[in-house]
Amino acid sequence: MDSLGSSLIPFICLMLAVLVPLTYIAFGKKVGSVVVLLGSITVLILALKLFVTVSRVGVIVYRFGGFPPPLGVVYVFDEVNSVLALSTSFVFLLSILYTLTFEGDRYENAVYSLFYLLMSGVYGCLFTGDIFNFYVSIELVAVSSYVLTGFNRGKRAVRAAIVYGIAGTAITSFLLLASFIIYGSYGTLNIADIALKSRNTSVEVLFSGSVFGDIVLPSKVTLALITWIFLFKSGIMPNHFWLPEAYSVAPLPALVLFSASADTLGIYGLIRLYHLVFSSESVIRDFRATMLGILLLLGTASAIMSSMLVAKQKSIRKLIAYSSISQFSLALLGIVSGTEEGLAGSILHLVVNGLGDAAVLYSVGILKYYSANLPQGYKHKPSVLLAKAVLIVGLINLFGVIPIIPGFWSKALLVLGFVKSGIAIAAVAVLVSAGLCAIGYFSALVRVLQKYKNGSTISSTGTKCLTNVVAVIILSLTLIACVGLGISITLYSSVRAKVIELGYNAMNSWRYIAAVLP
Amino acid sequence: MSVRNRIRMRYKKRDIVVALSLAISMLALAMVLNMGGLGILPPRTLRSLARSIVINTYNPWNTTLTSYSLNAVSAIIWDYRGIDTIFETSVLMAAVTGVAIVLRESHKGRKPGGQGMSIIVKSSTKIVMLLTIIGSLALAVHGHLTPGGGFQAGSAIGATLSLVLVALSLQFIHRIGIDKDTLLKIRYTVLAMILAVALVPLISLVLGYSYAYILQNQVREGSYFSMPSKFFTTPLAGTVFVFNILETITVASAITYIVLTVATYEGKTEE
Amino acid sequence: MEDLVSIAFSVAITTFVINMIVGTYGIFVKHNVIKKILALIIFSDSLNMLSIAIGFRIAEKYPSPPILTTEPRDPRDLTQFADISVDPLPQALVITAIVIGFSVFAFLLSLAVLYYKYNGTLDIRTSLEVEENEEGFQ
Repeated sequence: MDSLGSSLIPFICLMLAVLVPLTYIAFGKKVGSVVVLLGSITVLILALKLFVTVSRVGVIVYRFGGFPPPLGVVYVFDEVNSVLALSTSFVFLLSILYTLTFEGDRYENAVYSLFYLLMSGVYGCLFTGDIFNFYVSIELVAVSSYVLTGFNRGKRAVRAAIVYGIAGTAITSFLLLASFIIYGSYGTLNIADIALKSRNTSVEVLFSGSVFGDIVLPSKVTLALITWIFLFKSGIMPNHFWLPEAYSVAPLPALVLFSASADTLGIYGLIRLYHLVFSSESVIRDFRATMLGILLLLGTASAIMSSMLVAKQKSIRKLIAYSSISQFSLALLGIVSGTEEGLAGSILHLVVNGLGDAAVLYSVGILKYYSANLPQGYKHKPSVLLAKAVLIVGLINLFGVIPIIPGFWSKALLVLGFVKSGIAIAAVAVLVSAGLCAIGYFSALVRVLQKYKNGSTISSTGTKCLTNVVAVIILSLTLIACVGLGISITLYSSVRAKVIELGYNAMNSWRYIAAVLP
Repeated sequence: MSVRNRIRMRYKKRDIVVALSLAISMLALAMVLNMGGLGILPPRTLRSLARSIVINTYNPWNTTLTSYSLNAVSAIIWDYRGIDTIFETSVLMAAVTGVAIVLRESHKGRKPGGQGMSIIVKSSTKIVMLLTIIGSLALAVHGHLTPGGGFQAGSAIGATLSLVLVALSLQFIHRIGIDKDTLLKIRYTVLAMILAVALVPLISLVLGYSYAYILQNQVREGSYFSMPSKFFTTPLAGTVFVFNILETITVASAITYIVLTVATYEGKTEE
Repeated sequence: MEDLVSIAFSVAITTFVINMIVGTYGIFVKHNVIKKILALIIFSDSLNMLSIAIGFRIAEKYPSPPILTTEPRDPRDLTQFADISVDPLPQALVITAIVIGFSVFAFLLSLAVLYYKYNGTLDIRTSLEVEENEEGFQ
């Protein structure tokens, strides 16, 4: 009963993706906007409820169609994916508000439909306990991302969408190949079942029996293949060619959704892959250690290289693109460390990066809107000052060296994890990349404040009251989320313990397996 | 060095890396297939999961696991792994939305110039169209009994309509009442119906009749809710039948929509 | 007879793997957008064929499709059916994969139409040249 509402989240998103165009056609724009807004609020409430329930009960399993696990598809809710779902829903609500108010005239209703499709794919990926269902969900995320990338059209957008589309489709096909190899050799598609059989090859599971072939070599091949796929999805350095191009042409709210939800799925998948499916107890633990060594090298190189590029960027979109790559690389290093603190740090880092990117991009967007629509002396307006404050908080959050901001705590946890597991090079990488990124962030801050200092010189139309209210709501929600999270982590040791417990739960794979296969 | 040469060089360097990684990955795949990674191929026995499904697909002696569909593939598509298929239909919808956005200035009311092909081609196309549509409807309706199902039937209808477009002109398509806006509306409505059917079991939960799962078809462990399993003496397989018919309509309208959009697009090379 | 089946099966699997190599090569090395998409189609179709082949089996006399022809009268009918039926799961998964592939290719091809409209060519390098030239001027 507890899990029904949470399992409905992807379905509600799909339903709205269909209903929004229908209401726009049947009842016009106003009713449509209300439906869009109510939908995102419902999703946020359900995600909040899921978060509360999971932190009280532990792992919950929902069986679709009532079939027991290896036979049917299950959704598994635990601490890790409920935290990510909550932060994703929060950013999604902000994006919907922003799109409705500031960019609603520029796009047709199709954009909301695509947002909802993207989100249902994201929730499907987060919750699913089945590897083929993961493939289908990630394909939904991918297709809607290609469409959103090409949404504005024009030479660069079409090129970015084609490059992203062809490479992305090829790579998700490899995920299909991997899941077929898994089926052929393990005889099952359920993630918990695979995890159980990869530890103990002689185990007999109801319905799916024992393993079908010799699992060692197929496991190695699929581990390597799926690692590559997830590295591509999160744009870690040698596979990043699509990310800056897509980020520089997509609509602004879509860009925030990419960096806060769609592209974190790669890191989330790697957490599951290395700490649940093929964990340190599995039959291929030696090969896993080798892969982790490669990931350490890749992550370090990627973090430093992309931070160097951050320092060079002139446009805010490319800045966010390269900064996302560098933050994802740091989160990847947290997975490599294999300690509770490191994993907790990497999950918190995903949340923090999403919030920070949303803060920066939306405050810049709002500043731009005001400077185009208000007369000269607009700079003392309260919402403008608020926007500047949010911009500063967001950049400090991404930079992450001031203790009251959550960005500090995620980096501190990461460094703690590296020190515990004795990976000095990764700890150095965190500090170096923070320093290098800082150059880019602060020059961007100065440039933005300089650029939007003056209002429009042409006859200004002024702004509507509703627009101002929504701007204040978006900005204050972002501010409260950033600062509230930071302050509660700083002041209350119970919250800190909760965060570290997140890392412990991510590594506690026996609990997951026992919940799915009783 | 000119820009063009620099770019060519960059692509050349990349090709070598691609070739090497291809060789490695395919070698690994060949080894997996060859060295018994997937068992001895072709095997003599079924994998246990497949055996459980094959035995339970139409099993009146084990009512909590069966879906009363004689066709095991349809049972998997719409019952055992129904959520995969619902997501897959949404992918199709995302792609249709994408095509509509990318080719958005494709003409709505453009008067087509062509009048179609010669009378012989026209008449034979009409016959083929009739036969194919009847055949694909049979595929859809018998999707749970014989090979076939929603997607196959829908793509057959879509292919027929593209044939009609080529042989009988766009005017004919408009005359039989098919145009892009209608297709899009049909597509959205039917997808909403598919989702509604997936959520219908929850009504029983809300009314307090019995516990029910999303996408539930027949009686399950701990739930008495059930869709109709028989139509007089013919097996109906509950939701499998309904989903097959709805999927036919969505796929047919999606394919026709894409074909019509691309066909009416005016491609000028310069803006 | 069974040896023949095994040999034919190995030949088929080898063909699929070779096709996949050709497809991947085309995706990453060809510069024409349409050729890239075609290579992608070759790749995903041979992948689907390979998956169907994984579900194949050898059975007493002939393997049967995973469809019951009559309603079973007795539980023994079902076990007999399970002894000759091929694996239905890869077939079902492949249908899902085909639909997804179809939708992605339709979208990518419509993007290719637009690319041709903007650039007058289908070479993916051309727009990069234009971009770099523009950056050079600034």
